[in-house]
Amino acid sequence: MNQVEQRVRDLMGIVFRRDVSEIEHVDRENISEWDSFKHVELIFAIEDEFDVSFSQDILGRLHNIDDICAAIESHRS
Amino acid sequence: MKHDISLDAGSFRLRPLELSDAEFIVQLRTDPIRSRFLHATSPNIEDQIAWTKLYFDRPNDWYFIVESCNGLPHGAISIYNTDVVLGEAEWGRWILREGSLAALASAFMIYDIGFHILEVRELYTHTETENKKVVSFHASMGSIMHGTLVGPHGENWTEQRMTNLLWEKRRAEIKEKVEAIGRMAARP
Repeated sequence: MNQVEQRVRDLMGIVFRRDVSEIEHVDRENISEWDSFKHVELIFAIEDEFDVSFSQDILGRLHNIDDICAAIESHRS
Repeated sequence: MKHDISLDAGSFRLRPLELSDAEFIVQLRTDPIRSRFLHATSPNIEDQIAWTKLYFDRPNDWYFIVESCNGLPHGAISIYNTDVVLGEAEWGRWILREGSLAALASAFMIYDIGFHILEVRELYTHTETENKKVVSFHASMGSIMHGTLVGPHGENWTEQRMTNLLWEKRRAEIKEKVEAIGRMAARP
């Protein structure tokens, strides 16, 4: 697990109020707390943490931790 | 009922349902994934038009189209089952197209319409308990769990309630998020 993913998991733990460190594939389908409200909170937290700025189009496509980490890496490179 | 209530928040708008929305409503409500937890809808556009005409004559029932401020339809939402004596109403018939970011804005506007325009005292939702995302969403908005009930087909439903006073405590924080999502729309 790289540093970006670890930091995203930490943020998820704060927003979802549950530990996701042991969940291999964190996905909106398998996290019941990952509702539309918390999705917005999570994305804003990620933007602040990583100093990135997502478009509204990207926001609607971030459904799992892999998508989020890839989007972060893409914006940083 | 036929009404003229419209409201903007962030980059989204609620506007009154029109007969010309029939095709869009049928497309949404016959999508098996999007409509999984809604009552069954006829795939026939003429049936939707007929339903809408009956709705126009039904008092204390407000149906809205959720759209972006440039007119792109995103979904639908309603306030209905109004009890003027108790000062409460239900909101629901809530459905958004895949990938839409209008959830927060549409819920925000429905609460503002219910409490500030229709002046009800309490708004509640009945969500199939298995629809965990929506139950979680209502809780995230600050709506209070009020119990469970059994639906017409034996399924479990969760009732959650928001009072006008509670809404005033939550409103500023949620409005900030709605507006932040709206600013995202302007990003290149």
